[in-house]
Amino acid sequence: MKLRVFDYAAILLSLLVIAGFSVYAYSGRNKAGDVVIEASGQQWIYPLNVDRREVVKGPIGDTIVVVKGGKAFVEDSPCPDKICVHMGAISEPGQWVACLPNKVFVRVRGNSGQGIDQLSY
Amino acid sequence: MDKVSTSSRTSRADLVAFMGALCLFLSAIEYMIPKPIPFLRVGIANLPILISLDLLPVPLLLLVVLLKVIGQGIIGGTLVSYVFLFSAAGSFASAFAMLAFRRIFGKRMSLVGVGVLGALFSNAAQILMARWLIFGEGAWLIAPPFLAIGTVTAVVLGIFAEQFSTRSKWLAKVRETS
Repeated sequence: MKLRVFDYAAILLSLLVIAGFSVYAYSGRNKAGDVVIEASGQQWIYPLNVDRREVVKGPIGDTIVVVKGGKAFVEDSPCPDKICVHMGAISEPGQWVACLPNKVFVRVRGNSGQGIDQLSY
Repeated sequence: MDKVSTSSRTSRADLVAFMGALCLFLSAIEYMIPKPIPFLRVGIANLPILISLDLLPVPLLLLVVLLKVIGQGIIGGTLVSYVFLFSAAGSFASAFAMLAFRRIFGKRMSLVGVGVLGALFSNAAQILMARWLIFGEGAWLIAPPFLAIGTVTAVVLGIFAEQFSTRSKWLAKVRETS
């Protein structure tokens, strides 16, 4: 049996739709999140998909917030317990990291729906 | 003359019933196949529809699709649940698409192409429903693997259906009588 011209066209169309959905779904996902840093009564908003390192001034010194590979974390802070550093990286909307002594609050904000936790069939 | 037309009408009705029963049977077979990935459905219950495309007039073909959807619902236990809506939407979207493409391209596209486009429309309809009814934006994340697996299984089923419809002596006899 030989495939005909429009069979290949149909398969190609299908692949194009898959590629289109992949680009939309997986790049749109990175765009979905922003990091919101609040400190000293000010607010900064950065996209999660651009790597950066920010020095945030607080009452007891500088807190360093790093955005890397779609995740945000506190690299260093002048607080005694370093709880914020140990809280690790955040990436999903609603997650947060705070350094209370230095009054720095970092959270991820999603401007669209969240990802799926689990699927069952 | 009158008698001939009645008998051809009954044979068509028989064919609808037979294809519907075949769908039910193949749904049961499909249900027994283990699914290593949740989306991995082979879709063998669609074979009778692919083969009926050239055999039955549109209303009767849609009747076979309805029988298939009900059969799948009975076998899968989803007849009285929202999953049934997904199944029905996907099946009818794909049936209309396959009928349209069969009519547009005729012999320039085999059942492989028709099946692939049918799978595409079925899956797209289901993803759209998932988008509006259940998952919201998260539905787009399942779309690529869902569509990709659908394309692969559609090619395999299309090759089988094409081979079957050109070689089957039973089908040749059905074509003669109806």
